[in-house]
Amino acid sequence: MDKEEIISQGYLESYITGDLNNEETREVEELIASDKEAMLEFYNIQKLIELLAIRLGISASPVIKRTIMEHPSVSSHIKPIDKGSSGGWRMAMAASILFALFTSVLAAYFYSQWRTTDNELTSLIAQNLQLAESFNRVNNDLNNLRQDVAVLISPEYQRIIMDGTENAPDVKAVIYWNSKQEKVFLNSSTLASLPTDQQYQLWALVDGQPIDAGVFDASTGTFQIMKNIAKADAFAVTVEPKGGSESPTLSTMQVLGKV
Amino acid sequence: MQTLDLNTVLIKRIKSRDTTALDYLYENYSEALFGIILRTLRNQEAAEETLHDVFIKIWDQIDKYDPSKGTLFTWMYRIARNQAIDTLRSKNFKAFEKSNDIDGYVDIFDSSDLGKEDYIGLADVLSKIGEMCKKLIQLNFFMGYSHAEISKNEDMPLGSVKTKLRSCLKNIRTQLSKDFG
Repeated sequence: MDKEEIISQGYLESYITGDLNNEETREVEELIASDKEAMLEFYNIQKLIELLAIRLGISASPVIKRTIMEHPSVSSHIKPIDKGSSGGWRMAMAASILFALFTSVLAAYFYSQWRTTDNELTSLIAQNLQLAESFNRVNNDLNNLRQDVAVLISPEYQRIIMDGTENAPDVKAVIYWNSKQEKVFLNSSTLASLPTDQQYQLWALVDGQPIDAGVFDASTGTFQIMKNIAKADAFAVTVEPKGGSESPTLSTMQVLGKV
Repeated sequence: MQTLDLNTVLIKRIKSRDTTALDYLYENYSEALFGIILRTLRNQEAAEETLHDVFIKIWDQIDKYDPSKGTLFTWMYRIARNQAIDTLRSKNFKAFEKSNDIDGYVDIFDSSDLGKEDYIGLADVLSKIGEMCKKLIQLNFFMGYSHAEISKNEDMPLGSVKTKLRSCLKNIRTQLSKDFG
């Protein structure tokens, strides 16, 4: 018989009632052991017969259960209920009190351990945050420096030194200008600090005409990125009201450098 | 399948000779098994004696139960059915005499005195499967008749008895799963 025949011809149902010869029984057993679908089908049939049988159940006399439980084969395994002596009871009581004490001590111990660990964890988290902040700061600085160095060593950048005018004879500022990429960097570290209502403004001079290249504050150390400039004959810095002016106040010119 | 897991525990406990597990088994399955035994024997006293023997057999032979060959209930069902048929054929029982024809058949599914709560509307489903189906299922699964006996008495080819029984059970399953969505 193949699987299809066993299932469709009702052999699974017959297997439940045992209404099969040895050969058929063997074939059915082989199928349900090896085939998931047949196994599931068989399971479902079994559950239905169980459901029907329970639905059709009839109570037997209560005496029957007693005779079963009193049958020697069963009754020899019934455990006597051990009522125990009072001494045994006291021992059990003492043991449970000891156990309760022991577990309380353990609980207190673990609680204090937990508190300590919790505090340590909090301070470690704080330290970790500090480290992360320092790292970020150093990392930023490093990135800035890398950029500065890249500008300094690049052959694409032209270095223009702006000398101090008579307004500021000791001052120098340096422009790094990549005319192809139109990028302008400014190092203005020697310019003096200004009142808060004033800012420096950089100008590019093209054929004598000033073009705004951005405002900046006196800043130490690093390069400042200015507005893009494609063409320039010279660069100059003036002092302007905060936010900058449309045209330079020439009387305030601090530095000037020709390309 | 939760039932299987529960039964695994139950079987383990019975194997370890835990009599409370036998108690549980009796409380949950004795009525189902007794229904089959009583309908097969149609004699209260003989049926109760047989039920006793069946549970002792379950207790004594639990090691013979092989879960790969069917559920615990199927195993117990077979023991009850076979034990009842054996009793029926025994010399002692001849005195009671069960008529060997199927005239004694009554529609047990229709009995209103079952006194069981019908949570899943089984009665409703059973009322829809037709008289022939009800009769075949009852004779074969709950009254101890073999396919051959049914075939002879109902004047129906043996193969048809088998396939008809299958389609009847399948019909109930379809109806039940329809009702449960």
